Amino acid sequence: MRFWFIDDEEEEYEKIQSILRVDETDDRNLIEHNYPLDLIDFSQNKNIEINIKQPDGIFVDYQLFNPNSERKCSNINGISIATYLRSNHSDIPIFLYSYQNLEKLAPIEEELANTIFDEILYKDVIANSEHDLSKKLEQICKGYFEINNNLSCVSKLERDDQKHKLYDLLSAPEESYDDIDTLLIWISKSPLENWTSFKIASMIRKQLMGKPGILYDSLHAATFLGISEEAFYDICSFFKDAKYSGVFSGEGDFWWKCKLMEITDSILEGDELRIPYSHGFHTAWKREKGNELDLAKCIVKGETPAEYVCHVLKKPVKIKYTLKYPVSTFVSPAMDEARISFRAIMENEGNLKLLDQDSIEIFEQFIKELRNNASK
Amino acid sequence: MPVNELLINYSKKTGAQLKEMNKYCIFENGGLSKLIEQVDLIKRSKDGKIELIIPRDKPLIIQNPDHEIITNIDITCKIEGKITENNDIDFSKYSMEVNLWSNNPDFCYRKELDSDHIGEKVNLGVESGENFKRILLRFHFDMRDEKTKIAEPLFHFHIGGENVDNNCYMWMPKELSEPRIPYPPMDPLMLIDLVLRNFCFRSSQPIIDRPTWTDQIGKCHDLFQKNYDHYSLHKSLFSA
Repeated sequence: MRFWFIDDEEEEYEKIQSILRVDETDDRNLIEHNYPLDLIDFSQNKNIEINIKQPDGIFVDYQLFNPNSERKCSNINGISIATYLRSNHSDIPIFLYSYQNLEKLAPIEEELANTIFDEILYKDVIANSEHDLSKKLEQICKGYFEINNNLSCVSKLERDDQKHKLYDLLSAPEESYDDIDTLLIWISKSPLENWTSFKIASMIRKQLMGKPGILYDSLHAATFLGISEEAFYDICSFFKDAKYSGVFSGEGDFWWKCKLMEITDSILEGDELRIPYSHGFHTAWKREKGNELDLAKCIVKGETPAEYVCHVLKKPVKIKYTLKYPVSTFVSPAMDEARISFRAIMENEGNLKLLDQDSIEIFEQFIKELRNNASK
Repeated sequence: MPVNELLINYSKKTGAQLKEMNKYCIFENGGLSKLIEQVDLIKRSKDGKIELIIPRDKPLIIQNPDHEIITNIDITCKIEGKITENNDIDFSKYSMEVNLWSNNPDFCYRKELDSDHIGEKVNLGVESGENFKRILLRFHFDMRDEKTKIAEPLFHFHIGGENVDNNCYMWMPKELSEPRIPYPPMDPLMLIDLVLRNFCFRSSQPIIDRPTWTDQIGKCHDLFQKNYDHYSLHKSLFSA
C-alpha cells in the first residue's frame, strides 16, 4: 500500500512509520511525507495534482500551522485540505489524523469531518491501542479497490444493475434487499445515481456496519438473541451462514440480522415463534442442543434476558429501562433506534440534553420508585 | 369551556406514541395517519369533545402478524364522548372491533362444518393464486345498545357478531350464543397495545415495551377507565 501523510511535523511522520511498518525492511506500507504547502498552496491558487502516482490512502493532520522547509506557513487546517482532496479524489480513502486531547473536534466539526474522512484517527488513542491499525487501514484501502473496480461507473448504469452490483459487493442475502433499499432511499433521494466510491464506502462502513439494524456486531447479535456476547461466540458456528463476508468485512465480525432470524426460526417451535428472539432462542437452544446459554444481563437491574444495547454504555439492557436518544437526525427505519439506558443517565454519561421532557419525567419517576423501594 | 388540560396531555402524548409507532412497518402504509390527525384535534377541542373513528371500510391493518395461521388483523373503532367536570369521559358512542383473518386453506374450509360454496371459493382461490380469506375470530368491545334485548353490561366484550358484509364468512356459527363479558372502555392506543401484545409481540416489542409507551397506556387507563372498574360494570348488568 502507498500512503500519503500530510502533516507539518517530521516527528509525526516517524511515528506513523513505526505504527504502519514493523521495521525498515517492512515494505508492506510505503508512506510518503508531504508538507501541506508542498501539496496545495491555496494562497497562490496553485494546486498540485496528485493523480500522477495516486496513493492508496491519505492521512491528513488537523492542525497544519508549522512552517515547511522554505519557512512558509499554511493557513489552512486539515479539514479544508481534505475537502479539496475529497472533491477531486473520491476514490481514495482519507483519514483525519489528530490528537484527541489537544485538538478534540467540536461536535459540529466532527459531523463535518465524517462527511469528508473515512476514519478519524486520534494519535494518542492509536499509540495506546492494541488493535492492528495497519490491518484495519489495509482493509479500508482494499474495500475502496473493490468498489472502484465494481461500481466505478455507477452513474452510467441502470438503477437495477447498480443495486445488484451493490448487493453482490456486500454478498447480501436476498432477504436484506428491502432494508438496504430503505437505507439507500433515506441517505439519498436518488439511490446510487452519481454516487462516488467515497459515498458508497461511507454508506457501508458508517451506516451498514456502523449502526445496528441490518448488520449486527457480536454484542448486538448476542443481545438480539438474548444471550451474552461470550455465549454467542461459543455458538457462533451455528450462525456461520449469517456472517457478513462482503466488502470491508476484514474490519470486524458482523452478522446479517435477517439470517440470524432465519437460522433461529429453524429451531423455534410453537409459542417461541410468537415471542421476541431474545426471549425464545435460549429455550429452543436448550431443547435442541441440551445446554443452557448464559443470558444477556440487564445493566440496570440485572434482569435476564436483556433485549437491547445501550447506545452510550454499549451494554445489554431491558427495553423498559431505556429512553429514546436522538443522537442523529438521520435514522433509517431499517436501523435500530439509538436508546440510552437509565444506568447511563444515572452515571451522567452521554449527552442528556438530547432527552425530551417526557423521557426526563419517566426517568425521574424511576428514580423516585427506586428511592421509595430502598427506604422500605 | 377552556381546553381541558388532561385532554391536551392525552392528545400530545398519545399522538407522540402513535407517530413513533407509525415509523415502524407494523401497520399497513399510512394506516395510523388518520388516527394521528384525530388525536391531534383533541388538544384543540374547546367543548371537550372526543371523536376517534377508524371506519370499517378503512380499518387499521396489521399484515403478517407473528402467528402461523392469522394472515392479517384489522382494527376499527367509533368513539364519541366528552370530558366531564370530574375529568372522566362521558361516552355517547363506543364500539371497537378486531378481526383476525386467515387465508390458510386448511383453516378457511372445514368440510364437516362449512357449506360447499365456501369450499368452492377456497379451491378457486388456490387455483388462481388469489387466496380466499375469512375471519377466524372477531372481538367486539362495545357500549350497551339501548335497543338491545340481551342483558348487556354498560361496557362489555364479546366475540363473534354479525357479518357486516357478505364476503367475510365468519368462522363462528350463528347458532352459538355470544356472552357479553364486562370490560372497561379503552381508547385506540390501549386496543392497539392489547392486539400487539397478543398477536405481534415479536415484531412490536421494541416499541410497546418502551417506558414512554407503557406510561402513556397507564395514563389512557386513568382517563378512559376511571369510573368503570370490573365490579361496577358487572353491577350495570343487573340494571340493563
